[in-house]
Amino acid sequence: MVEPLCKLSAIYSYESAQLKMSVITKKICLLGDFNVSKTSLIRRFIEDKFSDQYLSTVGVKVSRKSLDIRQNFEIQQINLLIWDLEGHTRFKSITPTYLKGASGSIIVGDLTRSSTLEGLKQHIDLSLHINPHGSIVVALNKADLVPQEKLDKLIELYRFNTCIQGINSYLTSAKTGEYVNNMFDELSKNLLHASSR
Amino acid sequence: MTSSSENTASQTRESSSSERPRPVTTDGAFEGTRLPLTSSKSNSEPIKNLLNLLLESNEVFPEKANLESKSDSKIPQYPDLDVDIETEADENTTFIQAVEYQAFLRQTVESDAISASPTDRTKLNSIETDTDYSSIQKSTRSDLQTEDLVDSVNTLIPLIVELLKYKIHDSQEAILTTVAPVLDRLIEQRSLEDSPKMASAIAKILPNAITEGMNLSPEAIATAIAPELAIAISEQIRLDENAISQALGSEMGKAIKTQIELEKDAMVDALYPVIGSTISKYMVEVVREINSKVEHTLSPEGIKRKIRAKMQGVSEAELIFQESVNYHVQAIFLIDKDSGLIIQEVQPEGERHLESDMIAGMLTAIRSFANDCITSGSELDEISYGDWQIPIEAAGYCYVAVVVKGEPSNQFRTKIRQILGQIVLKYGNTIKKYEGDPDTVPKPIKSLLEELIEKEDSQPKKSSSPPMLLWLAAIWLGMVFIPWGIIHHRGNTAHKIAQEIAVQLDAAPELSVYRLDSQVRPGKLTLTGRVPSDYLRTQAATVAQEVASQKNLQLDNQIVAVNVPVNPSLITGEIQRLTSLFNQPADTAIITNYQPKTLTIDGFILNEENRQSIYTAFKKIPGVEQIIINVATKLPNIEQRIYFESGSSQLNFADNSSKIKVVEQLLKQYPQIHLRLMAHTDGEGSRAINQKLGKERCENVRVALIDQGVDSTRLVTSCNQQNFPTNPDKQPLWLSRYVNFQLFIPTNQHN
Repeated sequence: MVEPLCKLSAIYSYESAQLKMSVITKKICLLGDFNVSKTSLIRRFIEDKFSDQYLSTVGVKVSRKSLDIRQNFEIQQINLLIWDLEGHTRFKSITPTYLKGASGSIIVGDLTRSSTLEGLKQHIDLSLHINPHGSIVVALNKADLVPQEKLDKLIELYRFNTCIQGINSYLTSAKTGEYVNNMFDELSKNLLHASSR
Repeated sequence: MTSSSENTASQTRESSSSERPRPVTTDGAFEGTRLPLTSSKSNSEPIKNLLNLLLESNEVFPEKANLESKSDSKIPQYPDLDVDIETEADENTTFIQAVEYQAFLRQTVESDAISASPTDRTKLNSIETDTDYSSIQKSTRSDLQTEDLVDSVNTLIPLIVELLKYKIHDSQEAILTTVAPVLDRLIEQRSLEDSPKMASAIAKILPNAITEGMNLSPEAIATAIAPELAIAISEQIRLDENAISQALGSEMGKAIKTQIELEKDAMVDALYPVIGSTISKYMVEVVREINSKVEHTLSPEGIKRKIRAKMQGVSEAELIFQESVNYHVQAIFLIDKDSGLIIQEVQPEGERHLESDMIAGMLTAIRSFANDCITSGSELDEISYGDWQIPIEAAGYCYVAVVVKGEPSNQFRTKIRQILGQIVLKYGNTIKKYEGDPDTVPKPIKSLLEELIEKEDSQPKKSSSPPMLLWLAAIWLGMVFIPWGIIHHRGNTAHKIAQEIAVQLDAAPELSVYRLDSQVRPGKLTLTGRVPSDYLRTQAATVAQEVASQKNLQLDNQIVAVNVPVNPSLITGEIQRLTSLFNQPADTAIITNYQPKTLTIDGFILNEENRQSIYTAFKKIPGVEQIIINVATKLPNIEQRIYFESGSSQLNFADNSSKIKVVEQLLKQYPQIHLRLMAHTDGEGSRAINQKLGKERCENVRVALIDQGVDSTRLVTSCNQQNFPTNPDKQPLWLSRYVNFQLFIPTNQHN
């Protein structure tokens, strides 16, 4: 089972009364092949909504969400600027300039399409190439559409849970919301950790 | 020499044993315990020694050579040394020492053999034979006694070493070939065992070695170092970020200069993407600005602006700036170029707060998109939608986006650029490292950005305040009326002067006819107009000069002297006037005929003197350039006589018509001349009868002439007096009865 190594300690909160530190803003990018539900993941994360309708993202869409992350007994507010990039297709690759300056990346794959999972490595490499110090998490999306036994097999095949690289994989579902928030929280924690170093 | 041998000896001692002196007999056993055969270390020990020696000898050789060359001074020492060692060897010197000594001696003897004196040599030889063999034999014996071959070999090593040393001196080439194959291994072994020592040993000569290496073959050194140079530099940068840049910084200018000298084009190519786009961007703006200025120069606004600029004494550009100031800054963002994170934002209070993060993100995305997909190397510098504009200025690792309502001026853009320039210059490095934490942003950036709002807002406020308005109005009025007053005053003065000049010109009679204008400009009096001659022109200038010098004005005489085409009617009038004038006296009867430029005078001028004065008078008339005089000085005589029958006044037409005709023709020819009729009688009969007859005869001739068409006024009869025959000769009487004719010039013809 692909799960984050550490227990999550993030708390969702829109009240910032107890915050003392200033809000840190971070840019994260979602990249992956087309129609792997990158936009849906963001919509689930930000609005907690889901739609079956497929609307292709053209270029890039920027969204924002603030999170409060507990870090060393303090609560740090983080302002995530989420860049939803146009999906990678055979004809058009992801524009590398959009990735510039991103502190973190979420590489999204579609569990129902193995080609998208095979593309994950390429996206990770691209992301690391442009931001060598960026944090990366992998979202294996549409987990709700795949039966459990098949899931296990897939995970065996595409295991990016390599602790050395610090890349965690999450079995997410934009439809059910499973692990979506966890993933974003984990990434935010990594970002804060990286910046405080 | 001595020092070298002692040094070698002590080295050997140090490495082989810590206690001495030691008896030769026990020496083998001792060595045996120290260096067990089975141990791997035991083998390395001698090698190490050997290496030590080699290293030492290397350093020593030059010295040795030096000393050897001064062999004369050395030789006397040997005996002393010899004696010392000999006694030592006899008593309890080690085998090693003995061997060393032997080797040493051999060496010296060998080298000195040529130069040394025979006595010395024999002496040394004797020593050699004395000590050398005896001691070796002794030791061999003792070794055999212990029957430990290994030990004996070990103990022999120093000997070998000394031999080697000797051999090195003797024939270096041979030694080199022998030692070379194992030398690397030796060094390796040694450095593994005692690396600091090895390092310190090598360290002494390393700089020299490198220098020498560079001298010998710089290429080889370069090849050796080159591959790691980049890594070395990046490592140094990692250790101390600024060191490399500091080191290179000072030379950078020179380096670039040299490179430009060497390969200008490559440099241009390299810099073009940066400078080219900057310059083109700048030029595009400048050209646009110039274009718009040129376009609007002649528009009503442009002219108005020009006038206002002149009036207010400010530059036109400033006015354009003021005109275009009716815009409003809503937000200013300083954004990280790559990540699109807000570094600093300024949003005036009371404005609708903009979602800065989102705007910055999207702007960055658009910029990236434009840079990637449309044209690389150029910048997106404005986004506009409807009434809103977002001018964008990029520099370094960040860019400034200003959300503006209305049309910002070019000055505003320049201002943005200046402020961004300051920010990048001062805080470029901080901005480069910005990672989303607003606490790391330097505080002064905000105030710098705020300048953009303050400056722009203050401008319209000021101009809208009432005192400012009044003040401006006052300036306006002042600017309008003061020049007007000055101009008016000047106009008055000029007018007065002009009038004065006009009066003066009028006073000169010959000039009064002509229309001459005078204009007065500051410091200058201009006369214009036309006169028919240079004389009049000069006359006018003289008159005006008097006035001008009084008023301190410079005279500019622009009067043109022209040949005025005189009115022909005036000329003819003048000619007629003169003609009638000249025709008054009885000796002149002229007819003038004027064709343009030419005057023809016909008629009679009986007095020769009059002729000249008439000519001169007509010549003076303007327009008369040529005079043709065609006049006679005498009146023609008329020979014709009309004869009459005796006692009759009846005119016989048949006889006399031709005569009448001739007279009539003559009168026709000279219309200005009159005719006098005179009657002559034959004297027959009474005086009264004759008088009567004469009168009647005259009258009849006169009528006959009038009948021919002769103007009656031109005919004068003088028949009252009796003209008797002048020749009472035997002439027939009828010849006395006649009327004859005399032409005369009438006086006052035309009156």
